[in-house]
Amino acid sequence: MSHQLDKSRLALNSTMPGTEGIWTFVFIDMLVFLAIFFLFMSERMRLPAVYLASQRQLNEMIGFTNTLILLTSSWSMVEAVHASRRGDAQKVKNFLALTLGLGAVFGANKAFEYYQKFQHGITPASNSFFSLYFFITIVHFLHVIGGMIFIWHCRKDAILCTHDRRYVTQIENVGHFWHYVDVLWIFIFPLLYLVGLK
Amino acid sequence: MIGRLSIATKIWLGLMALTAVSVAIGEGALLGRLSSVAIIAISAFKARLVMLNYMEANRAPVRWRILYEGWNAAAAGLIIIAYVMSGIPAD
Repeated sequence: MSHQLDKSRLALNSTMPGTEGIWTFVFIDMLVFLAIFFLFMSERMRLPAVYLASQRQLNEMIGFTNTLILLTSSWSMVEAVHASRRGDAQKVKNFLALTLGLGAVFGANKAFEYYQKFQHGITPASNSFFSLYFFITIVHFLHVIGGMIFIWHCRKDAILCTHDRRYVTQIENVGHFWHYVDVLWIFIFPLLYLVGLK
Repeated sequence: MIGRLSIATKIWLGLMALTAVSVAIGEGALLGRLSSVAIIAISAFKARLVMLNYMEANRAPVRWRILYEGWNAAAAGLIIIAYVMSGIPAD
């Protein structure tokens, strides 16, 4: 019992969650997406009518549902990290399983959304808006897949949280990346689906 | 009942509610031409909640908090400025 208390005190006293490396990697990735947002808005300024008309063909309910899904997966990821700091391996596994499940539902929604587009003859080659719509959402989805692979590995090793401080740092790193995936979508959803909509 | 929830859960509820508000503002153009500006401002606020509380930027060295919050402001600012400059044609 006191060993677990010492572990949680250690976690609270550490200078930062995760490593310098993950904060650096995520920040560099953020700069890339900032450039992508700039590109999107530049094209939007160049072709306002095309962008408005194309945006109206998007399904906001799918985008909205996916936002709620990723926000909930961020919550379950936080709960998993907190459980790891308490040394509760079963809770870690449960919350990571929930995070993975939500990620899978996000993926299924995305696949359905793309299928709907293709059914209507809309492809990345249709126009500037849809080129960037597919590019942005596919690159984001690759981040989701990458995050899910790391989460799956973390779940396999969950028992380590009962005695290995390095596991806590590992799951904090994975959590950091997953929250970043969520932050990206927090901007991507309104950028593609809501801004300028009437 | 809300008081007994963890901070992480309270923030999750707030994020979900803010998302619903954004969609309502967007779908209904509830704030006229300011709707899109409001939606992006709400997004920046949501991103900040995730950064400070889920990523725990409030526990990281201050340089990371500055960089991450700076990115948040830059992303929101660029979208808002470009939107306002573009003069979206009326229906």
